[in-house]
Amino acid sequence: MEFYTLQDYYTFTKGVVYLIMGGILVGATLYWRFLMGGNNKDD
Amino acid sequence: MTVETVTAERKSLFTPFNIIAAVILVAGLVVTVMRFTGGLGAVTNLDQNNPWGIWISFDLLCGVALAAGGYTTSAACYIFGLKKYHSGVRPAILTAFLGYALVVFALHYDVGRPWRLPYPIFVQQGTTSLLFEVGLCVFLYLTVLFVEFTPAMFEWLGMKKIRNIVVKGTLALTIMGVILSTLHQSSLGALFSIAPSKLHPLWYSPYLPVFFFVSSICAGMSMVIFEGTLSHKPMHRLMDKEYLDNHDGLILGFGKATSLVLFGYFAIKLIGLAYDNNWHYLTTGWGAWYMVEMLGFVALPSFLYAVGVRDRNIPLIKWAAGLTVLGIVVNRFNVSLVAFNYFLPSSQRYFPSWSEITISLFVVAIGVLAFRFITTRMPIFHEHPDYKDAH
Amino acid sequence: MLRRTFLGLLGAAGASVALPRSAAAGSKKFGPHPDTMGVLFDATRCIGCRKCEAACNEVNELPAPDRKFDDLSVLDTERRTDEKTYTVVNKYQGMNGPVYRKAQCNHCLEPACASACFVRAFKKQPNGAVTYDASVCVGCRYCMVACPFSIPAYEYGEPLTPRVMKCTLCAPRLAEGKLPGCVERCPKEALTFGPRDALIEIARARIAAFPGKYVDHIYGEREMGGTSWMYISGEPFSHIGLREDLGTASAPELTAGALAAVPMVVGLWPVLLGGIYAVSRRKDKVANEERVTAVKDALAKAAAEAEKKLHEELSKAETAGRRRIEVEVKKAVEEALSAKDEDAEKSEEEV
Ligand code: SF4
Ligand code: SF4
Repeated sequence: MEFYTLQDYYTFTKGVVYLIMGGILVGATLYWRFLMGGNNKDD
Repeated sequence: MTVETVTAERKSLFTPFNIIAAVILVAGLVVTVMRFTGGLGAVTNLDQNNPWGIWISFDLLCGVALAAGGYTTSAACYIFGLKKYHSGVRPAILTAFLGYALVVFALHYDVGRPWRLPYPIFVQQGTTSLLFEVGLCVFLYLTVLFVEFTPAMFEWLGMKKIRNIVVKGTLALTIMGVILSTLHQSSLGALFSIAPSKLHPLWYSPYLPVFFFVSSICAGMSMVIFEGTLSHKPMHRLMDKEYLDNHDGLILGFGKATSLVLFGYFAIKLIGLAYDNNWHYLTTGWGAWYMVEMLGFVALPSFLYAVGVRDRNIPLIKWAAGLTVLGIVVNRFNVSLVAFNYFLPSSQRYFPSWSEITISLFVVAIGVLAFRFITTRMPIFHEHPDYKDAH
Repeated sequence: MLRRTFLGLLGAAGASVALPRSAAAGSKKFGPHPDTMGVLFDATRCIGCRKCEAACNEVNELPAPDRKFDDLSVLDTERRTDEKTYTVVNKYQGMNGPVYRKAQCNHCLEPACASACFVRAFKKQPNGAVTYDASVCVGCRYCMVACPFSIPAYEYGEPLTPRVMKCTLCAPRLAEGKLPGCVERCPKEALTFGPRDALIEIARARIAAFPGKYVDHIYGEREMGGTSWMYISGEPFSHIGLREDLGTASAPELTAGALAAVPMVVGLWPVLLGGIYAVSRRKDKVANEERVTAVKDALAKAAAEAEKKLHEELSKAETAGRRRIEVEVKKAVEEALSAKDEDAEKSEEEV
């Protein structure tokens, strides 16, 4: 993809980052449950 | 209890409070009609140079900052493990939820085509805009606050199962709330980072987002103290022993924390001043006003809080809280109105119209009424008998 | 004032993450599109006839003005663009008589309005025009806050369908191969339309050819990241209403720091807050365990003591009982020995 303005470039990259942020929030929740779950009595 | 309250209210329909509220509501409705038939020009003093007035400065910027009590209190209780503040969480969450709901409500007056408010999220995303970031976070946070508030509603309605499901998610909701609050509180400051040429250098700073975030913590905690004081008298009969027993402890704890955060806020403001080498502005008229804000509304309340906490002087702490709340209002007005367009001749500066003030009061009145409606019915200031010790 | 990008201070744990200025754009350059057109305004040529204003009003089908376009007394007060006027000419007092300058949207290379708009209503087109799409606009007016040249105007009188109004560089006319209305109408060639690069060269040539006549600066070449509409003048630009304190950082650069901090918060806050939660809960647990053991110990101690006491009591009672029997026996013996009934009764009562 070619961008002629910093503005268009940021619109694209920030858009991707926003999607990743959504993924991170979901991922963090799942990972937390994975980490804190399991068979450890000493969390 | 519910029945009692309702009859009590019926008896005293013509209290001064109710009369004032009624007047404000009627006036607000009149201006509402004018706004949606005549346009913004008919009711506001906004013009081409001053696109944002008190509906942004007060209803949005102050509203969001003062509703920060929700995330600070729930974070203190559920993340930092200060369980003794538990009785303060529900009133704070309710205040925050109503605060944000009213912010969104007020925006319907301010934006040109309010039914398009979901557009930035669902139709076309302007991802480079700080306002997009604010809008997205406010939308998500309003949802989070609503979910956080629902247990009280479900307890009132006697829906045990769903209440218990929501309560299980408390930690996740709290963390979500802190993340979203960090983001939009700071982004509200960052809104102005795009306009360095319009904001006076004493208030413009690359650190604006950090300033707004840190001051929102002070605002939120002070508001919890301040608002607790306000509702103490009229709501006393609704408060259970746990709430009342912990209330002084909460005031002392929050007072101490706010004093410290205000100290930090003062420190980073000083750093901002040095970072942009703005010392020479301090000797101007703007500088004097800046010093009033910094010394009178940041340093002074920080010190008063400290003295109040050391002497266990609860009234003094409450005064400090009031002063801090006022200080945040002053700061948000300075950034968005007073120091914005500072270079324009005074004839082109903005001053709010009566209609604008009316709508702002209207919004506050709706908030107070909704708060009273909910607290007199749902278990906010007291624990529901079925769920004692269930936290 | 220094306008450096905001250093993200992500501080709960005192950890600060320094964000490089426009990190993503670090090694990349974004020049304007090669087809970018523009207009050069020469303040030494403008005579303040307001013909461009009239032309703009016509081609854009804007409402008729309050005072006619040939009424030059309008120039006595400084005006700005508004919802009925995309362009205005203002009169300034110069060193040798009046100087005029036309104001309109400068069609920035990195438009602040586009950067600010949360529905992307503004777009920098390849031909240089910054266009506006009213079909998505919410009417928040953040674009008006953001524009450093205070250009966009708002239809405050429209209750339900207000638009943001500003010059379009006559994008519809450009598409038809025509010149912008104002440029076409200008009688003094104060306005020159052409590719932006060529305009800069023309401007340089004029400045070089008449060194005393011009200030050696092309306003708009670099201001706010550069604009498509540029100005040359014999007066310092600040004297003709153009701010010289805008700097060269473009709008996306000004907000890049704050925007870059956002994903950091999302990435690190769960870690930080989860960590604090885990630590505080662990502390609670340890404290709780300590309390439980303490209670257990106390209970055990109490139980042991109670038992000990019971034993003591029991043995005491035993001794007492034994003694009592002994006494009884003794008494019985005495009784038997004395053989006095009354005495025996009495002594029994006494016991
Ligand atoms: S001059 Fe203002 S309205 Fe025109 S493109 Fe630049 S920022 Fe946008
Ligand atoms: S007023 Fe319209 S064009 Fe301007 S920033 Fe808001 S949504 Fe975008």
